[in-house]
Parts: sequence; C-alpha cells; structure tokens
Amino acid sequence: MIINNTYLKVSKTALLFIGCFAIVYFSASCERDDICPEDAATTPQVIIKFIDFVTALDINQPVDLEVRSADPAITDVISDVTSLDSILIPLKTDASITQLIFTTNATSEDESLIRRDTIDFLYTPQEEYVNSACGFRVNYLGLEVEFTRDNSNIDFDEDKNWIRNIIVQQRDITDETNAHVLFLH
Amino acid sequence: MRLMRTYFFYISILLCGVISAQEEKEKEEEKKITARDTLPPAEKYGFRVGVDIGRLIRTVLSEDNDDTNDEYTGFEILGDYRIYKNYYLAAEIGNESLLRNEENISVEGAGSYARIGADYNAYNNWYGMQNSIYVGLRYGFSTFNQTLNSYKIFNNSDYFPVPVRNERIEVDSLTASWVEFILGIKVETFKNLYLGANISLRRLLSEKTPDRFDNLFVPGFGRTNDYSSYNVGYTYSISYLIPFVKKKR
Repeated sequence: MIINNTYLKVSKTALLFIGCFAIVYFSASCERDDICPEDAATTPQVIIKFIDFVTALDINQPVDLEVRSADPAITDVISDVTSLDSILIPLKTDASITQLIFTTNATSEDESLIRRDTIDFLYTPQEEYVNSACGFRVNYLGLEVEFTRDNSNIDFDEDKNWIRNIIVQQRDITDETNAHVLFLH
Repeated sequence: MRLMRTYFFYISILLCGVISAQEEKEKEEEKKITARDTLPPAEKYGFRVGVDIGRLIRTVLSEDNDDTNDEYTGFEILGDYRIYKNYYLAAEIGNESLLRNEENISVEGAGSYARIGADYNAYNNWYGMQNSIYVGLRYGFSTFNQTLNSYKIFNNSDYFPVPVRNERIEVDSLTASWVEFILGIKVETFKNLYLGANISLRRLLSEKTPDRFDNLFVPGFGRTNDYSSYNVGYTYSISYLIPFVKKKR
C-alpha cells in the first residue's frame, strides 16, 4: 500500500510537471511579437507632389526624375521615384537638415536637357516610442523646405533649374496620408 | 375470494411497515458507526513556506548561456497558511530582472514584487494525505525600474544609414499591479516536504510607464505584450510545512 502510494505520487507529479512544461513551452512559442509589422506607423517619409507652375493646380509629372542625397558619401539614388505625380522621400533621422538633389531627364544622353535643383529640408526630429518590436520612430516637426540658390526667384536659371516654387502643406510630418510638400514646376 | 384479497392487502401493509422500520434502524446503526471514528486526526494545519526552483534554475541557465539574448536573474519565496478546511491564504514575494534584447530595442526591467491571495484545494484526499490540486486568485504589485540601453529608429527606407543609439536612460520608481488566476498542484513527497507546480494567467490592471518608452518586463508579472495586457507564468516550488495543529476532516 505504501509503495503503491509513493508510486502514485511520483507518477502524478511527473505527469503534472511535464504538462506544465508543455503549456509554458507552447505559450512561449506563440508569444512571438518581436517582428515589426509592415503596416505599423513607423518613421514617416515626406510626400512631395508635383504641380504645374502655370495653373498652380494641375498635377505635372516630372520626366525621368532622379533624387539623391547631396551628401557625397552616399552614392545611391533614392529608388522608386521615377514617373510618379507624388513621391516618398526619406529624411535623415539623426540630423536637422537633409540636402537632396532633384534631377529631371536624369538619364538623358543630351546633357543640355538635364535640369537640377538642390533643396534643403530643415526640421526638428522628434523621437517617439512605437512598441517593443519596432523600437522608436521619428517625427519631423516644423518642416521648412528651401532652395539652396540664394534668391530662388531671381536666380532661377532655366537652363539649369526646373523647380520654380515650393509650398509646404503640412509642417509636422507624422504620417503618410496627405502630400506634405508641393513642388511647382 | 374477496376476503382473501382483503387479508393479503392488510398483511402487505403491515409487512411494509415492518421493513421500513427495520431500514430506519439500520440507518441509525450506520450513523452510529460513522460517528464513532477511532482514527486519530490527520488533517494538518500550519504554515507552508518554500522557494520557486524554476526561477533559480532559469537564473543559473541564463548565467551559463553565452548568447545574452535574455539575461535573467530572480528568486521568489512563497508561503501559504491553511485557514479553513480547503481554503488557504497564500502570498509570494520576490525579486527579478530581465534584459530584453529585441531587434530594435534593448530594455532591462528589474525590481521587487509581492502577490497576495487565496487558494482552494479541489482535491479530495485519502485519509492522512495532504496533496492538493488547487485553484487560486492573486493580486500582484511590483515596484521596479526600466533601463533603456540602446535602440534603433525604425525606418521603412534604408537610404540613410540608421545608427544604433546607445543613450542609456534609467527610469526608477515605476509601479504595476495585476490579478492572476492560478491552477496548480502540490504533492507531499516526503513528510511535510512538498513539490509544487502551477501555471497562472495574469492580467495587468495598471502600470506606470516611463515617459519616453514602455515597460518591457514587469517583475512578478513577466514580459509585457504590445497588443494585450495578458500574460502567462509558471512556478515550480519546493516547500516545507510547519504543522501547528492536526484536526479531523
């Protein structure tokens, strides 16, 4: 009887321990929430929309657009910007200025067709916690967009430049729903 | 013939009366037998105190592990006191810390906690045995700190390089409270020595979070989840019963 009892106890305990382990293991493996989902509201990019300078209303799609950082250390071009009426542009998260070069007819063989503008994006980056999977994001507050040429109206050179005016629609970049900046050309 | 039937009828009624009277007598005798229990009282009442061996094992394993993905240290003291029949007052106190090295963020949570509540033993023991399969409820409270060691700015565009920020931010005197439902077992393996295991479902009631980020680990509650306030936990305990009195069931 005593042996029987001890056996019962041991087997019961063993069974329960195994059961608990199984439950904990199962729940732990299901708990993976450490991958940042693609639709999460992370660092927004600036939406630039291209408008016709004359009508100031119609969409005017730039031809063969190329956008790259003015920073000589970065040789790549920003991808996925060609032939769209509005484009998404990333800004530096660890600086308060991002200088970008916008070029039309960029791949043209005729050098005289290439038009180039260097634009400064000035802002205050504000870090914000998202969640444990995504970490932090940055909001760009108080956005100002300026030409690097001294007086944008007088210095506009038709043989070199193509953007005539810039209108900032939304100064605080916190989402990617509406156009933040209009480029008139 | 008619007379015969009448006789039978009366006889049967009489018989019924006699049989039922006998049955009652038997019942009374049975009662007397159960009341005259000669066994000595065997239900132990007392204070049971122990430690969580699961947390100790996890601490040791975490130390040996070279992959410092989740650095853990912790210990827990647990105790219960049998107040009435199958009801126990129960409490746990402990201290633990966990470093969570996530892909985009590294946060360590450390601090102390206490849980208080009651257990109900739903297991009907044989004479002299003190095992339990129990359900329990707890209210938990924790005071702790969170240390942000490093983080990344999550950006869908990788055009500009994203440096890892190593700005260390420690936020003290944070608090959290939660409730938990426990399902467990305690088995007396040697005299007054119990091995126990339980699983618990926890729900966060309140938490004070750092201004700039979130609590990623709450001592006593466990890891927090971005999308839910629930968590599960487990305990493996070894405990010793200090019996005060023995009572009949």
